[in-house]
Amino acid sequence: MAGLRTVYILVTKDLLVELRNRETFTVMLFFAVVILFLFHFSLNPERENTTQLVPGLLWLAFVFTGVLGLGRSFQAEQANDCLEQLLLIPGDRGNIFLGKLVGNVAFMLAVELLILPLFALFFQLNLWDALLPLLLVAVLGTFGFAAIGTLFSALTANLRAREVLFPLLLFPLVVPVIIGSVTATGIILGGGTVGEASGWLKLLGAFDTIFLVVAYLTFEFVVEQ
Amino acid sequence: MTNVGYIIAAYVITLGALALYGLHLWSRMRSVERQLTVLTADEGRHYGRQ
Amino acid sequence: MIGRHLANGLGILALLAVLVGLYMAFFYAPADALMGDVQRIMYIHVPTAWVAFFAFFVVFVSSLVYLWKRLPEADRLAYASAEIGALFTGLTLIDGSIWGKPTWGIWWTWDARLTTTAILFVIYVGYLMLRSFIEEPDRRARLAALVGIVGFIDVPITYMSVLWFRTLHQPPSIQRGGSSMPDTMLFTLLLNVGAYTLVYLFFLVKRVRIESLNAIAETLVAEKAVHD
Repeated sequence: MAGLRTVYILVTKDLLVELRNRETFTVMLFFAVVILFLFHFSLNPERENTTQLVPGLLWLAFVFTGVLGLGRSFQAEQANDCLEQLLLIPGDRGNIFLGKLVGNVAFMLAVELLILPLFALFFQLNLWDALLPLLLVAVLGTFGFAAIGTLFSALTANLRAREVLFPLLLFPLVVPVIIGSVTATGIILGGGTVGEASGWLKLLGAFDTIFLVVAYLTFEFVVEQ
Repeated sequence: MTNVGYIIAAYVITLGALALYGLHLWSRMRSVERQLTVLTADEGRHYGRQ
Repeated sequence: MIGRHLANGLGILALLAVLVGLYMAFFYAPADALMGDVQRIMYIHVPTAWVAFFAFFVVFVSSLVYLWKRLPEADRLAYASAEIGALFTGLTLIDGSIWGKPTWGIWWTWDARLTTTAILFVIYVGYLMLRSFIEEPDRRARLAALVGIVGFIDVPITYMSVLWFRTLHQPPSIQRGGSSMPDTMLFTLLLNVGAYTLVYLFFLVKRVRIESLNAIAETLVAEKAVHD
């Protein structure tokens, strides 16, 4: 299928570019570390309910780091007018979106996989037992977040106030993803099974599906010249 | 504040804001209409010259 | 396009409806059995909330029409409705807060309705700010339309997720105006809803007209520049 091939080309291109200079990834990683430091110092160590805060803090770290990465996902294309070249590829523009989305999800998950052990270290948590369910939530939440994030990143790519407009537009729309991800993470970290969290996982799945479709369909309007 | 005060505050704020917005629209309408009158008068002069 | 006199007539009708609604809210409707007179705020809070969400629906539909047909009128309608909708949303939040203090003792609560309204407000502001940063009319209309469409689809999802979140963390204790409302109250409420909808429509018509006239003025200015 020509569409899948476009997606594949885009993903490998982005991955190769990133592997070569690791710019975005490194920035994201160190940003995450800084955030975790801030979390530690902004919370009173005598606080008793840190365990209750953990799911929220984890996802805040994911979200702020993700905004950084997503915001840059179309910057590289802009620099060399690559976007025009991409648009010349025959076929559905939505495939460009999918290619970008898969790349973004991969980057975010890679950073999240490194944030998790740091988080466990800084907050003295045991995440091993719940690792697989945690990863499931991370994938579902990241996917939904990145779906809207990729769309809006393209939307705000050329604007003067991109750095401010992108988070401003993105955050209110991803509230359902945050709610679902944080609650599900809380259930899992509290010893619950995937079954107990299944309601929230279904919400995340539904959200992911709806916004995947909406973003795929509307992407061509974002990039039209 | 007594309870009556709360209701009055809410109504005053809301109706006041709506009234202010209405005034704002009215003044914008007048200014754009004035601008158009000036512009179309100019147009008339322009075509007259040709 | 609605004629000028028709629009002004609409405005007068709206004003009359608001006045009648006020009278009914304070003198015709009975005081609430439980909450007393404070509950009368409902007769302005519910209408502004209704308009806030209805205006966003108008933004949604006109944004769809714009992407499909590329009519500048559709974009003007979306912009106007967003501006007025943002105003009504802000007022809804203020009224809701003022209602909350004497009724439940708190200025703010994270219940599903108020939270979704707050998020709606931020989406509106984002939409308007996005517009203010783009100069080219076509690009501005297109990108704004996308935000309007995606934003609108998101609102009911947000409402449901907050509702679910709330049932998990707090039993639903706040019930506002259930269907067990006496007829006089219901009638007053519906009349006020209608009145403020008329106000919204009047503002909408005028605001769209201002944008159209602005567009004509800009074209004339551009033509003049060419001539001169």
